[in-house]
Amino acid sequence: MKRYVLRRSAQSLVVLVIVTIVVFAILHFLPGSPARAILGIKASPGAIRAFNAANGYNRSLPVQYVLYLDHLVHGQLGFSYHLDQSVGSLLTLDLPKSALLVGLSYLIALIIAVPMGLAQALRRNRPLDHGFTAFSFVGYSMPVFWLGMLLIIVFSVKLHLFPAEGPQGASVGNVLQNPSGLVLPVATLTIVTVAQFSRFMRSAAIDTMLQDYIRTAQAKGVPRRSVIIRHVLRNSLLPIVTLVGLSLPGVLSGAVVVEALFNYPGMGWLFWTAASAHDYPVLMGFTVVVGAATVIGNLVADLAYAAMDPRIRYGSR
Amino acid sequence: MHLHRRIVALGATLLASALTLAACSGSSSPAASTGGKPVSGGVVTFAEQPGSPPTYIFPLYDGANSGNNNITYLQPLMWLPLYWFGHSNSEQPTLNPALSIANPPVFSNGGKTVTMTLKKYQWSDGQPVTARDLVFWMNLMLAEKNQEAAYVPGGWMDHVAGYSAPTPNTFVLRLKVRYNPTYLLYNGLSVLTPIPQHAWDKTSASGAVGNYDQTPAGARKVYNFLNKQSLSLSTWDTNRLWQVVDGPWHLQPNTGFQVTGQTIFIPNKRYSGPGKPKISKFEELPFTSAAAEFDALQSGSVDYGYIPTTDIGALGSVKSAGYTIKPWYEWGLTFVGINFSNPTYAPLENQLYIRQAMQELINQPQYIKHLLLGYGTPTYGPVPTFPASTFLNPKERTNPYPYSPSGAKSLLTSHGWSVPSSGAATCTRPGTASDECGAGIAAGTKLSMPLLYPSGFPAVDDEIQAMRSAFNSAGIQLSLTEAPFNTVLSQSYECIGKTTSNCPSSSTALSIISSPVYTYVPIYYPDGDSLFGCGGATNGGNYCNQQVQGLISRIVTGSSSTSQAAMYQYQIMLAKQEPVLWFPNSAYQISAISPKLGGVVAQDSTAHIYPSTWYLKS
Repeated sequence: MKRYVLRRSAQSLVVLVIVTIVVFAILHFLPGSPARAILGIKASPGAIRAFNAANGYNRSLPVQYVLYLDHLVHGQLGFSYHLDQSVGSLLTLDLPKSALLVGLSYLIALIIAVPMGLAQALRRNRPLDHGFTAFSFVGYSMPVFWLGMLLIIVFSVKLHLFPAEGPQGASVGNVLQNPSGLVLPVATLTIVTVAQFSRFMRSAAIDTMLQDYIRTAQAKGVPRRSVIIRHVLRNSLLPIVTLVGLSLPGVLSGAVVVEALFNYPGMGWLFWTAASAHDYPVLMGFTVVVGAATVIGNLVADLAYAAMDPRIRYGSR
Repeated sequence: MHLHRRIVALGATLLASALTLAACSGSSSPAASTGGKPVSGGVVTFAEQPGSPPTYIFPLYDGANSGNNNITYLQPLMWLPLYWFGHSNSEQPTLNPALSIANPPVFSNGGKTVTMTLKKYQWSDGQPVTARDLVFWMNLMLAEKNQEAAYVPGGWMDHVAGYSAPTPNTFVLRLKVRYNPTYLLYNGLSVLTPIPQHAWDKTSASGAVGNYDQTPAGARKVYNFLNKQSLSLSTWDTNRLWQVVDGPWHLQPNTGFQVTGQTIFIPNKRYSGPGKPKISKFEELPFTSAAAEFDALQSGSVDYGYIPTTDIGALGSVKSAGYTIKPWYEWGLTFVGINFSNPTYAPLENQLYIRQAMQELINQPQYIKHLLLGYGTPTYGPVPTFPASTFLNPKERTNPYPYSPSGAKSLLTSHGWSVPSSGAATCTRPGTASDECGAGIAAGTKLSMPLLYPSGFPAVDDEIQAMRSAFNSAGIQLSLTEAPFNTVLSQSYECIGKTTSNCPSSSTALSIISSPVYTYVPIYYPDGDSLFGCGGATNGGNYCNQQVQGLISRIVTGSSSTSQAAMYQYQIMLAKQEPVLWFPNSAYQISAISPKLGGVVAQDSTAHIYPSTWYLKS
């Protein structure tokens, strides 16, 4: 197992480097220049030249990339010339906020979706199953921005139950001081995620219930509750584990639409504004973090798989 | 109870519990009541533009930090410029003597010496505002003038012969050349801001205050220190430097600023100027999107906000909630830029009759009425028509080329173009005679040009589509390309300073960046030197006309009377010469002002805000 983890980590590092090269190249081939985007219409050619020199954009692309890697190795992610803050401090502020928003919604979604999907499987093709299926389809097909706007109109503008905005704080500590602000953005993401997860759970549970070992357990007189919890639930969770693992990048990269709609600046919003402003250092920092999260997420999913299914063993031939 | 019921019940209970708990932890309230008398104190909230949090607090800012988020919404509330431009009770972008720290400048020595006398103001720590504070500003600004947003190579900053503070309240500036006094006041002295030398003249946080600014090397060190402090956004409200102010407001200590953009001002109790704040707290709120701002406005958490153009349909409901709706226009221009250096299209664009024909196909009144829903003003030349200022030649209030498809078609046919009923006209009479297509245009040339415009602006998109339709009907074919704002901005300036020999043919021929494209803020005099002067720093299309250049020179360096005459001639000439295609100016924002907020008389076209004059109603 240790060798497997080491090998996968090395592969991940290579993947990360390749990702940074590709993103770096794409960014610099985009039409438009960061200097004009940042300095604006009134910038003189001299100011543009000075900006490019100060940020190294007057050098060749490979040299720029090597310099970037050098800074990265030394723990420097660069400086956002759009927001006047270091990329490290921006990520430090925004990443936990996105992780809180998206992570909380995933957690609640799991708590709801797993029993919901299981209940659907147990009551397959009955009214309960049809009802939840309808809910899932509606939730799954509804655009996030539309759902969010509906929740704002109903719960904020009409009923005044919750604020229309997410908590206004720069840190997670400040955000947690106003939990009511999290309700609508979390609910928006949760509804969509529940719809997705519950479909997977339902399908997996139905498959599991058709397995021979379930029939054997029932034939042996194992109580129904034990069959469901020990055999059906545990084995049905495997695809959910994969989903959760693959969702890790999403937790860190934020949810741009929800963040924009609920005025909750996190990683998604940071990426969007950086892309709009040609803020290369932020875009690269974002890429490194989310790229790392993606490979780690995959690795964690694989390891969790092995933990849940004793038949799966990595690293042994 | 069956297991599945328990599972379902558990899920439902968890969701209900989460919602109930959250509901108990807080709520928002709707907009307050209408009417009532002014009351003292209270909190007023103001919406920042989406995605534009303050990023720079030090008032000596560079081009990257010269947006309204910093230079009108933040810095001037705390550090007053020597000369204040704009008014709380009118849109005029003119000098406001009452809010200026100094009396109007006195010019002597043939206009090369300017003497400014400071009024009696004090810093929030009790020290007086003196001419030494201005010398301090000048030392830092000139030591790092390349960093200064208002610096133009060859401009007035390069012609400073010296400056001094002969008395504590007298500042004297000596120049090597003579400038039009109005020009110098509006475009030069307008950037001067006294800053507290007794508190800021240091090179490190722990170092003592000294006179480091008196040498260029020392001034650079002080600038670098203050710049670094300004870039430490998370410490703005704890840094004692930024608590020394002379304006009516200062940041609420320790909790006055969050890097997300939330900014809380409280009154400066030692403010010595006119108009003491009536409210006890002024909060600027950041928004990730216009939609988020509008949601907050509708839920009652914003007192002074705006209606996004995409939500203009909801204007009625906002009005019915008692909000006052006011369009806010900036002191600026909107135009479609023409790239005179594009090797493929320059021969077409160089023909005045083609530019005139294009202008005759832009129906500004109809665009304003139907596409901007009335929230726009026409642009007919280089001086904004709104507000109608003393700079505006009354003749520029009339469009020299009103909408006339038949007139446009006639201009083309009379110059040797064969105009089909739809699509691009073809040059059939090449040559340079007055009834021929013009220099560089070969027989068979199609009158077709690309136009680049920004995505995400529905009104601009509508206008461009209408424009294409009108152009097409008169024989001018536009091929449209939509791109993100910053891409359009960059590409519109791709060929600045280049000629047709080194400007790529793939560069844009026509482009519109935004509305307004260009604002005369914070250099307020609409002289057009950098915008339409030969080789101007922001002359993206490389327009160059020696006659216009001569007029610009007279505007910049002439006496007050000759400059004003030149200004009148200049704007009429450019209105007819079409260095760009003049386009309607849409409102900077359509403001929605809460019924509980009083004192908002006008919205300053320089984008300054005046929370000191605002009050809450009982």
